[in-house]
Amino acid sequence: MTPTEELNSLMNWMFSEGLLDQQFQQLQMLQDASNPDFVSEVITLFCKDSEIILAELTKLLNQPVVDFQKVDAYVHQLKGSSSSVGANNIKLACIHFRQFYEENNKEGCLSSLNAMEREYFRLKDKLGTMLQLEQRIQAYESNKHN
Amino acid sequence: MKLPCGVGEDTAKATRALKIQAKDDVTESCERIGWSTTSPCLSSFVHILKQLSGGDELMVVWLSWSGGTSERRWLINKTRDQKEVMKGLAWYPIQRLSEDLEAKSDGSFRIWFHCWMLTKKTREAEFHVLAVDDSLIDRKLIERLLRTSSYQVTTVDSGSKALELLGLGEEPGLSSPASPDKNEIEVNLIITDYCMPGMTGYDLLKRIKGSSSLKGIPVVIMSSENVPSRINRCLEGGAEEFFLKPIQLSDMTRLRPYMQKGKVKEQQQSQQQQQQLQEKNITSGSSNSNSNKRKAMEDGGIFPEKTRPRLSSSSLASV
Repeated sequence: MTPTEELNSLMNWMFSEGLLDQQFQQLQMLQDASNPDFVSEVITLFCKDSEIILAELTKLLNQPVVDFQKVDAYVHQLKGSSSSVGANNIKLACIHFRQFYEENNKEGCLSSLNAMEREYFRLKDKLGTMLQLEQRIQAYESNKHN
Repeated sequence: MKLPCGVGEDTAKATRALKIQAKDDVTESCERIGWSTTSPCLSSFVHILKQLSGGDELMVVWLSWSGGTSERRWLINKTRDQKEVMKGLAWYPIQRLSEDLEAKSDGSFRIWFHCWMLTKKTREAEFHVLAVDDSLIDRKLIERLLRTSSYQVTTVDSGSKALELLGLGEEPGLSSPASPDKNEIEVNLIITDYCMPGMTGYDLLKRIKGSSSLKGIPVVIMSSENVPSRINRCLEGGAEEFFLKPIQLSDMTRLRPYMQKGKVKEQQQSQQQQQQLQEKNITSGSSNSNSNKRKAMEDGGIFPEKTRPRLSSSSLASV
């Protein structure tokens, strides 16, 4: 497979698995010649932001008495940012958390928090591959024109 | 560069061949921004122009077209010579150019063009939007969305910072519209997130609508949650619209009418004020050429100024 075919296949897979949704395509539409790194900048910001939130969540969950209100506030943040970048599965895990939180379902809360973390690292890994492939393609294209 | 859907294959080729580079400064106020090496058809030509100019007014020179007979006719200016170009040209707003062309075309249009555009230092984006959101990612997104739609953007991370920028103090009573000390910015629309720590978007809305100097500024609220009571509260509080996040490019087009309405009111106000000033001050030092310039732009882009000669009707070849 050429890098382009690999990239297309990866993107299709990510969309069908729900790692990404239509909002990610909106981001891609906002990238152009005058803003060639927009998508990678947003992804980088999102990853930084998410890892800070996940670290805070871990801290809160390791307390002897868990303050679920604080947890919910962080999840609300993560829900917002994942929705804005099209990180679909992470967003869904956040939504599930909040439903369990409202029902006072501790087990449900904990399992969705685990899902959040799992989905984040899964997405981060695939986004990393995506960016690498894009760089390879770009390098190939610019070599062709030189 | 993205093409509109439904555009044919030949147009795609044309766009790949199109060099989009700012090159060859013609004068200090003008730079060449693009030229076609092949010939896109009308709808993509307009689309390309919009992308090239970002919605700014464009001076299109050497525009020729050919219809079904493949006979070329000059539409605007018969020369590519830069010096020649600077004489006797009309400033064409994109909207009007596309309307004029559409009126003349039979759909099988092919266009060759060279475009010059006023550089940013002499032109300002038509509208300035103040975006308020505590999320860094959402600020980055909204900024990009607004800039792509050719608006000037300022982002802040809180309602209190927004009020500071707008010249309102912390306390509701402390508003000084003509304060010379504060660096107030002029804003045509405020778009704010609802859920923010400290001052919510709703609180900000109320402060703005409660201020005599700011209440004319249209406010739009964004939220990630679809809560009807929240939406109604905001609309009743004076918000023009309520957007659900994530905001999309298509939402940006809904902003323009609010800003245009606001600007007309503002111009009427300022023209009234200027008239009053003139009546009081016969030997006023400053000219009001700026406000006339603006009005002329809105009328269709041909400036009746002595620095820019009017395009004579003979240089526009009839179709």
